[in-house]
Amino acid sequence: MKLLRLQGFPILQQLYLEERLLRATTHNWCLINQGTNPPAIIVGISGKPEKLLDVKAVLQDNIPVIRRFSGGGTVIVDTDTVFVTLICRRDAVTLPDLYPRPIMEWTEHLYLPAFQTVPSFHLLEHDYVLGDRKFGGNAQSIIKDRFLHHTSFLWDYQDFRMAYLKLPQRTPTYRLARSHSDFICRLKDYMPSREAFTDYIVKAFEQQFRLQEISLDEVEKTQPSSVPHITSTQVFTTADLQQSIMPLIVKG
Amino acid sequence: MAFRCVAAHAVTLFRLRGTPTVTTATTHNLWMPLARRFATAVEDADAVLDGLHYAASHEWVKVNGNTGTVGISDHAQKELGDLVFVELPEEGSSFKQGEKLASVESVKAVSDIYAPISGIVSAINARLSESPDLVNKSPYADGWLVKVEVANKGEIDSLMTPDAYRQHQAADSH
Repeated sequence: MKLLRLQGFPILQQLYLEERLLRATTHNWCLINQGTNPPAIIVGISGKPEKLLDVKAVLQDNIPVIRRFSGGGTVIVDTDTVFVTLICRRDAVTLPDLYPRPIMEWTEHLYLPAFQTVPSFHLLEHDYVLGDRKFGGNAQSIIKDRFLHHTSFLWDYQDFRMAYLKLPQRTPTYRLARSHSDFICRLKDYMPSREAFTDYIVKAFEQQFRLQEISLDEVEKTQPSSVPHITSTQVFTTADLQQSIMPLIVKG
Repeated sequence: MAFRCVAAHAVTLFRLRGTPTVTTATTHNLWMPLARRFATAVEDADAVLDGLHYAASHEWVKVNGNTGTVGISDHAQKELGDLVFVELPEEGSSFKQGEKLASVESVKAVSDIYAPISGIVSAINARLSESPDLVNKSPYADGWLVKVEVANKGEIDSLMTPDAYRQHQAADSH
């Protein structure tokens, strides 16, 4: 498995890169990105901004909104987010077939050694939690004989940024109508440092994979972006976002 | 790990499904994943409809004259979970057998759906935009995905019969 470590890599570029590595390469990959700047909102492939966001506030504050190629819900990411992505061939994992739930459970066991020092880490419904508090958002993209599983870990977060996100229509049962601040927690309250956290992750992954570190330059040379592949990641323009709330404004 | 394998086999044999419950567990141990797997409801076995042809990737096609109706199997819809979004191709687009035809989103995951047979899309199931759950509720009838003008009927020979697919999906469950 090739390990690519990034620091502050823009999340839009990361998503483009991930989609390319999933669809246009045959290797196993692990990407770890320490934060992104500027902050951005990422919705899942079917996400509708008008349903998920306070679009007026997002427009007013000029926060980029990106639709990613994987499923799942909405996250707001910034320099306090730690991104970890796994891209695997089917033969790299001990699963009979590639479906969401078995993949999630496989990742739980892959991550478990990284959280040995933290009580109560486990997978609850579709989320990694400590106790009953979520600390990371997961999403997957599954293609023939390959899958991608990416997580945005909340090392820290700013409460005011969470205000851009509406309470989603679909919520996990364990959320119990809790507000965002009562539902999530900060990983920094449980880990000695970000560097320690990512070291724990690498050591945990090394229990199942032989990791070979690679630089972004080498990736660009050996897996060039010119190789044609399906690209579903897109950025919502200001016009897109304004149009999304037009029917709501007209209704008054 | 060995105990968990035995439990997993027991789940498969008795077709039990874990039901997520709220937990405030303060310690993680091996019993929790086992607890998640056992529930009170017994599932029906995955349905396989006769008269269809099946791909190893769990799509089906029903050929009537030059038209093929395409969908995903009961096994696939169960494994994917509740669908929340279906992305279909445009009418008029052409696909070769095995190419990505559509996408479905279940909670957290997008999965590609592949063309079981080559052809040109002649119709899409517009109901799925508002009711993607039709694929879960009726994978072989109301939950069809697209209709195609079949390009090469000879490709049907490369697909599985219902009996072969039953064996294939049984192997997939272990």
